[in-house]
Amino acid sequence: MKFLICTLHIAIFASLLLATVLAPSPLFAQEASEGASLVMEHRCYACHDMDKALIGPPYLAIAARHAGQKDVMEKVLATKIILGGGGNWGMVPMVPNEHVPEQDALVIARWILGLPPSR
Amino acid sequence: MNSVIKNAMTPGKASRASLLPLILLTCMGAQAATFTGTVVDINGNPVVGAMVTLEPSWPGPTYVTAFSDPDGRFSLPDQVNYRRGSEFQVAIRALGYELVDSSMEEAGDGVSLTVIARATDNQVASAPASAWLQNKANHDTTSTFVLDCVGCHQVPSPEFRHYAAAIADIPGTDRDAIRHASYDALVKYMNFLSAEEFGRGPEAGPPDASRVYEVGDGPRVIDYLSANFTDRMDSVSGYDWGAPLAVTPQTAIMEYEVPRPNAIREVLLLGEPKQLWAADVASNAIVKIDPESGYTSSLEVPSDTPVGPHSLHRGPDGSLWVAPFITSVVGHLDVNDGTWDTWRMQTVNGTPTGIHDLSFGADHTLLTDNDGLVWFSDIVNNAVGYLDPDTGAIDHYMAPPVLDRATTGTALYGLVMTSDREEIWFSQLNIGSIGSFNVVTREFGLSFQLPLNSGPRRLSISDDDILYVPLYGTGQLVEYDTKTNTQIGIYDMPDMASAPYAVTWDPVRKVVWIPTSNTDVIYRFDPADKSFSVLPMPRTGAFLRMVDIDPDTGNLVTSYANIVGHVHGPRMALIIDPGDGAYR
Repeated sequence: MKFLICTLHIAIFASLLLATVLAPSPLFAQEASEGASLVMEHRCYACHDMDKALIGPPYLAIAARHAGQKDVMEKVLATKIILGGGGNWGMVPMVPNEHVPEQDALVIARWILGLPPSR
Repeated sequence: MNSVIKNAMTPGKASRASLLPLILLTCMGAQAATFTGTVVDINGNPVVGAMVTLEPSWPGPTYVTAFSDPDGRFSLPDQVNYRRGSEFQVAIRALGYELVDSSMEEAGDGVSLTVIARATDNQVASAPASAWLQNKANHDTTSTFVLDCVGCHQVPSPEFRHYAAAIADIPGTDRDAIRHASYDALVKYMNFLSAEEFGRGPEAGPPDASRVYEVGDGPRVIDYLSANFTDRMDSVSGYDWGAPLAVTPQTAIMEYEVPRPNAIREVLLLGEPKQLWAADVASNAIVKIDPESGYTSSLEVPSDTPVGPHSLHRGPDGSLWVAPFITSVVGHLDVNDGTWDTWRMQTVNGTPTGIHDLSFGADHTLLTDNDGLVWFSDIVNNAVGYLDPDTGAIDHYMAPPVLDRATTGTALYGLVMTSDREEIWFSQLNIGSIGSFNVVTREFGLSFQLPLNSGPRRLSISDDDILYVPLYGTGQLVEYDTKTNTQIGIYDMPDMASAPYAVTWDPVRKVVWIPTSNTDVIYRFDPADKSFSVLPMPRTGAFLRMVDIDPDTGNLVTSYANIVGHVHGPRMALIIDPGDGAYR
């Protein structure tokens, strides 16, 4: 049910956090599911799809472009998620998302950079 | 006593708090419950008409605001829950000023504050969104733009202005092409968010991006943005409220923050003792706030489908009527014993309705016809109709076509009832039309038309059956005599980009209060001399909705109703004492 969007997402997020405590799993897997859920929570899907160009580039394209510089890009991408700006994928800047907490932006950035190179 | 700057604004990044820079003051020895002080500029001259806002750490309103007088002096309402050693923060909003420092000292039974402000030519931190829409293009295109966009959010919001700066930073020489492509992307993005917001329902998921990017008046909006927002939008100057302030030294604004994810729409003050009741359009909840303690609790509208409480009306017995945003359920709550009645409001064919307003009269209280029927506007079916609360019977009457204007998507919107309880008047937001319906003969009567981009929204009616209509798009007020069917006048708002959302007749003061969505102010219109005055709010992003008047105190009750999720402005319920003693 889509209606209770804010509360539901928070509930899902909370249950994920709980799951990480109860069920030991590799850190990456935790962050992968958390990243995917944060992408929904913060409505990134309004502009980005996994493998299709919408207003912004696909996640897989971003991951592919920065495959060789993950360490640097983690912080850079998180910063860009919050501040927006552009010049990297054409002449259209990304909208700023100043409501996204820095921690969430970092998790999303790690999730994007950790996507498999080909799908 | 000490004074610490707690939260300085970081350039280029929006402050999470909506207030201006805050200064933290710690009072260690006072027992006082009165707060007075002076606002002066850096040369010691009084700053007049500044809003001084206290953010207490003790129970009560989240923020309390008073206005400085011609000597710069202000007096906040008594702080009843104040305790020795309590911390509080101080902020100001004054057009063209910024807070630089403040100090406090104990003075008799009270606390005395000195607030130092500095004049700034750049009003970016103090001016409302509409300041950026002054002298843009021509008024006609701006009105259309306001109707297209400000219905959901202020323009230009801080997020929008940051985007304009990002466009300015894109390298390249063809600035027109860069701007056009960038605003094209922005409008697609906003169309997506809008489709998601208004597509909410039991089965809805995220919209299909490829289908919702290109909807509505996209090309027109892109052209407007590209032509008018060409710079970094990091400064604005020369804005003034446009009319005298409607405040006194006793004027006080109490703001109650409603925590996310609640998205409040309208607020009423009801019950014994008086509580704030806020419609949470994001869920099935009514948020209840105790004005004394600030304590917040939540009540569920009993419904197995999402309701999204939207419009609230006070019943003649002090009860609460709730009209929905999402599905066809009208609710009624006895606020004192907590019992609900609900009605499924489907048409006789079983199709959904979109109840927007219930009939009310000059005292802004629900008014049935002489047979006890509650009349409503139906935004989905371009209809008016009635609910018989005793039997649950409902019926609909489709509005007739108007001139050559659209017959669907008209948004039949605001609704009022005349004092003889025989006629209702309604607005059609999207086709600039006002019409009447006789509830005895069940026939539509006179209608009159305004420009297509005028945007008539929530109406009000005086005790003399004078109709007041706010024009959201064109920023005007219509005054119309329903007895003689003559238009008395149409008046320009002090700021015509203010997006007046509603009007409320004040039966004691004999004035009209007009909350605005884009200017952070409530206008006061005096029909006696057709003059406006201004009651500003203490923060930017104050997306105001309906104003109600507490019949006992004459206090105004309203809300900052920023829309679910994607608009990041304040969400608050407000009690405003105009400070004129009119209801004493």
